[in-house]
Amino acid sequence: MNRISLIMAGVFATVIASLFGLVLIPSMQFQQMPPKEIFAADGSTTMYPVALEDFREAPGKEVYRSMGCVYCHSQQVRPEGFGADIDRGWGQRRSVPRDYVLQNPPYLGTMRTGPDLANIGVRQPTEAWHYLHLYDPQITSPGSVMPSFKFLFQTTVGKEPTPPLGSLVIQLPETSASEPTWIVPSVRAISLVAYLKSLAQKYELEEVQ
Amino acid sequence: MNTPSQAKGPQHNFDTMDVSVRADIDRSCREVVLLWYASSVFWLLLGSVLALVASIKLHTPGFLAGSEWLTFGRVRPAHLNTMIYGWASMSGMGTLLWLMARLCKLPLPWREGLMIAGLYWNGMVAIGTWQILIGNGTSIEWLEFPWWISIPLGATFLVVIALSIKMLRERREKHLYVSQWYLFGSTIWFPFLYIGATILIHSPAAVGVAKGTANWWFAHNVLGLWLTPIGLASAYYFIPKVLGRPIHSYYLSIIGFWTLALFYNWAGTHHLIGGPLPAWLVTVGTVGSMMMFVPVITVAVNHHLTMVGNFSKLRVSPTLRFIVFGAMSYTAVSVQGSLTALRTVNETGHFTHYTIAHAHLGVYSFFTMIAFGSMYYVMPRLVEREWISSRLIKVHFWCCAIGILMYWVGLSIGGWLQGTWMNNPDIPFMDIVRRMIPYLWSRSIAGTLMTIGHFAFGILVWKMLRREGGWLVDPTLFVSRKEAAAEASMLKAISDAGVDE
Amino acid sequence: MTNTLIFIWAVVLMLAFSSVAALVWAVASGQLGEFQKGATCIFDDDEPIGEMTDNFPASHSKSSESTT
Repeated sequence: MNRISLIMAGVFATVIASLFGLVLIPSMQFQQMPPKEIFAADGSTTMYPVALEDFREAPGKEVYRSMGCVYCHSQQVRPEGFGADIDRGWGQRRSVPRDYVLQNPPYLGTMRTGPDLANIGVRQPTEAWHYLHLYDPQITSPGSVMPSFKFLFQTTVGKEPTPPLGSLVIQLPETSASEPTWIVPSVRAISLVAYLKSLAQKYELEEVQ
Repeated sequence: MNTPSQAKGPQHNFDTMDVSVRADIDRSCREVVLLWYASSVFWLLLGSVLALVASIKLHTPGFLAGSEWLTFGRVRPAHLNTMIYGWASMSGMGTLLWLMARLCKLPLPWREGLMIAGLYWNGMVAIGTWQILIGNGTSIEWLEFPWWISIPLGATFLVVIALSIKMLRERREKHLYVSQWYLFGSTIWFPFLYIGATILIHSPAAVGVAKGTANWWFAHNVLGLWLTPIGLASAYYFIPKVLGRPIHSYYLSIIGFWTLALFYNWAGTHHLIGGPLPAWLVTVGTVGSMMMFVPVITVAVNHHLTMVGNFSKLRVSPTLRFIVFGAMSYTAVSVQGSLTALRTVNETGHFTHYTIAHAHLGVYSFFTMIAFGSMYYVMPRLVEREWISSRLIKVHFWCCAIGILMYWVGLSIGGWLQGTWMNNPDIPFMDIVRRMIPYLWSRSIAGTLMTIGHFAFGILVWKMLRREGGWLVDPTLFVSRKEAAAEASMLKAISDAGVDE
Repeated sequence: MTNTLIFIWAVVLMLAFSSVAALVWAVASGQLGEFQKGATCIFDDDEPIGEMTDNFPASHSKSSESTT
């Protein structure tokens, strides 16, 4: 064991082997997974998975990244019989590799301080709920430990403000404050909600048993 | 275990290294290693503060909630990255350079280059952390720095790899000690992993979930192939060196090294069990994790059997105290890690604070404690002064030791319950959030204790750098060498009498 | 899928074969000879086996404080 070259060769061989096994071979496998055509009852076809649209959803994913949502929320549904994800209503079926082939990168997550978001777009379809929840989670989910994202909103007390083009105004529910309070989401908040609403693994795929 | 004749050791014909040669080598490391060490302590303190902020936010979400910079999703990765790349990597690099010089029996070459590399590295961590706080983090766990940070990181490591090869080739000691294998391995592994994972994740080279496996291939290996080898290299050097007793079985150490190199790589996908991966990929991760029992047991046997009969010396030596704590934690964290990779355990422990507790047992209880121990040994030899206060060293040790135990126990129990509750669909999710609050408080309290310990260490290092300690009488040993010998024999007498463990 | 599996097995077998070959070579060429002796290379005449090299700094006032 006095040869540097021997150690170096072994060191490289081991790490390259695992790189192939854990990353490159699976990646080859996923590359051969094209989006699947889904035929609806009315005869129309959809390609699944669906790519994020560039105007709101893709920037919304950037907001999700920038705010570090992944540190408390996963985006993967575990299979039946392994955890209670499906029983909790976090998805109709388990997640499979095909769900993620267009995600660059996927935010699978490793922590569930908050609930899973793989199907949040199906579970919470109303925009107003998302805006109120992001503005102050205590409004929609009392007792939550999620931080509030008030800095993504403009708050007005009293008269109803006029929102900029493409935005909207939401009135906060009556609280102890005597005057009505209005919030106007920023572009980032609108994008983030558009992204959250796009999260849905709703199609049946044949690889899901 | 050694009989007296064995303890003497075979008469070797290695070059004898007298005091002055060793002092020259230590002196050659002085500026470089002190720069890396001092910077690491700065990042340790900053990382501790960020950790506390993040911890408090988890049970009191209103804390500092108005600031976008300090939202939980940014403070948490900022904490992780300052700790891993600032504290752990920089203190590890300091120890790595010093050990390389000592074991090759060569003065440290290219000192100016290594000083520049140290400044460069500090700048890199500072910019990376700032980028995370302003929202440019990648949200890829353990790789949150923007992709272009890999350029200065790679450049620094080119210097370190070239330096390692140069030193190993020119070494004056023919034998390559086990610590050198680990150190050399880690200098090659780490930049390969970092740059490889950055390319895979930020380019189309990997598709979909393969980016997730690339993430965990990297993140698991930062601990396994960068921090663990440095920690083990330190333990393999300092335990025998401080005790004055060769490592128990040198044969085992070679098996331990190569099985670590072979199996640790493959364990990363156990972070994705139950996820949307092909089944074989998860199985590979589980098998890799189980095989880790081999290197772990060999290392455990080696370290612990070297210590057997010498536990009383933990009272005498600060280095030994920290390093043995770390070495024991290594066994604990590795056994826990292998078990966590089992599907049945993972079903409950995954996605909960149980995993967070496990991660801290690895990076903190194992690596960080060994890093502290190494610095307690190395710094006085570089500065040629004593540590200023035994009492502060003890404060540091007990705050960190009790803090991490409390942290681990609290979050392991809390996390396990969290997982059990989550797997029971009859318990509403919001109830689980509420029931977790006391356990999250226990983390903040444990974290405060650890932070107090870190500040005690910060004071010690500050005083050391200002040369406020007493002189070292001879260049490598403490003033109280005779006292220590007397004390050790006294302790031995006590332990022989059965009063002590 | 079968192609992938064959590829994986080929890689695994190749790895297994090369590690056995490396071990045989190491034993045959004496890389492991007198191995235990290497464990003593961190000691020298000045810091020999059997002597501790670290302890708490002596307190300048009370020298007995260093044990707790």
